[in-house]
Amino acid sequence: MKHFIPFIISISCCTQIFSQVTYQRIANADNEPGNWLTYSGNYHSTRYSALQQINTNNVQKLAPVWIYQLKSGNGGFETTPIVADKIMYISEPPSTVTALDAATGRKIWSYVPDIPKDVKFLGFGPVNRGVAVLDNNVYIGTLNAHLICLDARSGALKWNVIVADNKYGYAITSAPVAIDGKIIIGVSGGEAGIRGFLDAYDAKTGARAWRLNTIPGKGEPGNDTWQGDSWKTGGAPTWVPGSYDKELNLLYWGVGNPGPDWNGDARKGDNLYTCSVLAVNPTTGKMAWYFQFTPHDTHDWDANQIPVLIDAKVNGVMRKALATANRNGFYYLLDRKTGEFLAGKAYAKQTWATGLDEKGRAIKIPGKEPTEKGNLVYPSLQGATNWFSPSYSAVTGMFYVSVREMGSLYFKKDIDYKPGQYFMGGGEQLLPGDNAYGAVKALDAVTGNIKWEFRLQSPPWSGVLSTAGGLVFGGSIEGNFYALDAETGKSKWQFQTGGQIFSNPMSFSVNGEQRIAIASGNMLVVFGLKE
Amino acid sequence: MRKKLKILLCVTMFIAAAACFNNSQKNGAISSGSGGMTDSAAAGKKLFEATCVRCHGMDGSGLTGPSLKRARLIHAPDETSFISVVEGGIAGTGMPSNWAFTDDDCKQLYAYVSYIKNQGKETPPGDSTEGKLVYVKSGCANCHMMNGEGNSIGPDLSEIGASRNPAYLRQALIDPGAALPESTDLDNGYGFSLYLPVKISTLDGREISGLRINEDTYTIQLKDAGNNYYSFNKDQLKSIDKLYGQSLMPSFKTTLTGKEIEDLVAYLYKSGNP
Repeated sequence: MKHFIPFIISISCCTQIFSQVTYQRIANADNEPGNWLTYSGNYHSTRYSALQQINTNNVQKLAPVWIYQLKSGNGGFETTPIVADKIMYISEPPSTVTALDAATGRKIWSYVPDIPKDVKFLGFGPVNRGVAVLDNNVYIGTLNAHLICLDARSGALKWNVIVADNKYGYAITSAPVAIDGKIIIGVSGGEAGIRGFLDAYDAKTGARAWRLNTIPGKGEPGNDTWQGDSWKTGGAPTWVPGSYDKELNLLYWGVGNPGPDWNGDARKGDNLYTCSVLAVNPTTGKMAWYFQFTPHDTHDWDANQIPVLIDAKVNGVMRKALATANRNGFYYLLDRKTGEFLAGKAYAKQTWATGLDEKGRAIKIPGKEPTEKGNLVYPSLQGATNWFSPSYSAVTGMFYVSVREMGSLYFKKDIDYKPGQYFMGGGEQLLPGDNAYGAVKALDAVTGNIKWEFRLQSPPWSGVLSTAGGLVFGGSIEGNFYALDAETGKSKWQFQTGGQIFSNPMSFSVNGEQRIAIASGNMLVVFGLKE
Repeated sequence: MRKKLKILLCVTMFIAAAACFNNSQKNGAISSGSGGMTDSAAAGKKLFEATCVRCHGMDGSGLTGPSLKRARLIHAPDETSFISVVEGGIAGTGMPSNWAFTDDDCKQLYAYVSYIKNQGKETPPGDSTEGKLVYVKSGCANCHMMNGEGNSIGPDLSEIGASRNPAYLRQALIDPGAALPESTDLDNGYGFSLYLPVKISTLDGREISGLRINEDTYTIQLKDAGNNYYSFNKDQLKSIDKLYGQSLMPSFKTTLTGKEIEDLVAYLYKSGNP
């Protein structure tokens, strides 16, 4: 009998290690900076780490501690890891979930969903950007548009529900967002003529709690911004995670492009709620407000950028604000309670608008539409920025964003809708030569004024992470993983990873040591200080 | 839409340098009213002109990419393999995958490419046997390797005719700086001009001129005219001058006669078109 007592104590200790990631813990993620509990680090999506062991004075000693090599799939490795209580949860392309020991990178379990060979992913690669955790569960959206719940300790399947029919081009590459008792998930398919939506599912059972169509149906407000039946195939996907304000009980979610992308002739009107951010009550699934960045978009400048929730003094008054650097080249600051436009200005070269009016609506320059012969417009089809994450530091008051400085010749073509096929109506042709480049830019979060710029060789596909160590981490398409001084933009350190970086950096600590992680090429590289 | 694979679509379009694009305009497009073109081929022509022309030329006779006016396409001799090549690309070449093309699109493209392959096929007018003598006399082997012989400063010419049409080869001899191709190697990042001449000044006072091999945000690699290799961290450098529009290769516009240039073009074109 006496042998059982220490065993029971031991079990008890283990239970502590595998403690539940409750909603309360996620909602107060800032209290435990050693963990990284959501895709963007916290509900406000600041992608800011309060850890400061790695800082401007010692970052030169940063070196790989362990590497995990991709085991599945041929798609890009775009995951942002989640770390909870010494366990790291990542997604591997196309939709595999793997749990790793955060100290060593050794695998604990993997779950490989059954993805049909004829799965449709129209307009993007067979990728996945990450998982969500809640209580004892891990959640992933799959390429064939299922939502799956796994046991966090073993990877065992708890439930698997169909979010949408993949044969029509619906797919999921986004990390879900877990809030109190609900899993929120968006869909891809803006190049397949889908009608987009945002869904909420019961976290325990997988039952759908609500669906918010991102294109209003007949008789609903906003449907008259679509010509004829064009709303039925109008796109408006929701393929990047949103943010959450627990006090206001509002979710903020970006909405993608209208379809067909580059031919707006048959969808005259503003095409709500494409290229917008929506504020949604997650209890009811009802929209509280919307703000449209690019009315009647014909350049594929969808608003699937991470909305960053910041509290800042604007004209002497503290505001609960939403900051976003949009794909269309403009930075916006909105009141996140009302959607009121507070400030905005261009943060990259753009040639399609003279500026923003007092309500934040872009003042379009005529003649910038795609044409049959091609029309040169900045930014390019991939936008001044894209799905990769920005970061906000309340310490510096700066909003950090990876920027793509390039233009495109935009083409328009005729297109008819066919279910489950591309529905784009044109394309782009990039300018020849090395005239495109990239940058990390630090914006004054309140005004959008550019405080500094760090130039990159090529337009990037990596997000950025800012830290209390006074650093901004980011990656380049040539494989450089680097750290900049958050105040000045001066480079402090870099490491050539040997693969293209299509992901976001994050930070955690394990056994008292801070780590920085980035997916690059076919590897997840975890860095730490080496003496 | 994001999207990583959009890059691949774009790659099909950005390989040629601007001068090459001008060159394609000189070649002239096939008139849309060409007799005998099926509806499928006409639809394929639209796709071709929107996507393929930057590498394969407006009339399909090639630019930085190979001419398609051949009796038999090496990688795509039939419709099935053609679809596979267009959708999946050809590994190790500049031909990328094209996620935006459906099987139906590819079939239309195939109909068009099958139509044009016998239209106005360009045969270099020069004498390739004479051209080989010009190749030797002009010292091309001082910089270029062909069939394992010569120096390796410039591109290997063993199969150059398979990927460059006569017009491109002619321009490369007359105005080589206007014919720098862009890399489609992922390890070169985006929009990377191959064989770009660079001048580097180091903080410790050295001056090095050569051809850029690779570059990222923090480093640059190059080789000089003696084929010596260099690598620098950019923070060691005072300046990097990238000489766009120039080439280490001399122009042969005045040193060779018109006939000699045509003979040399014929010789080069034959390499890869036996």
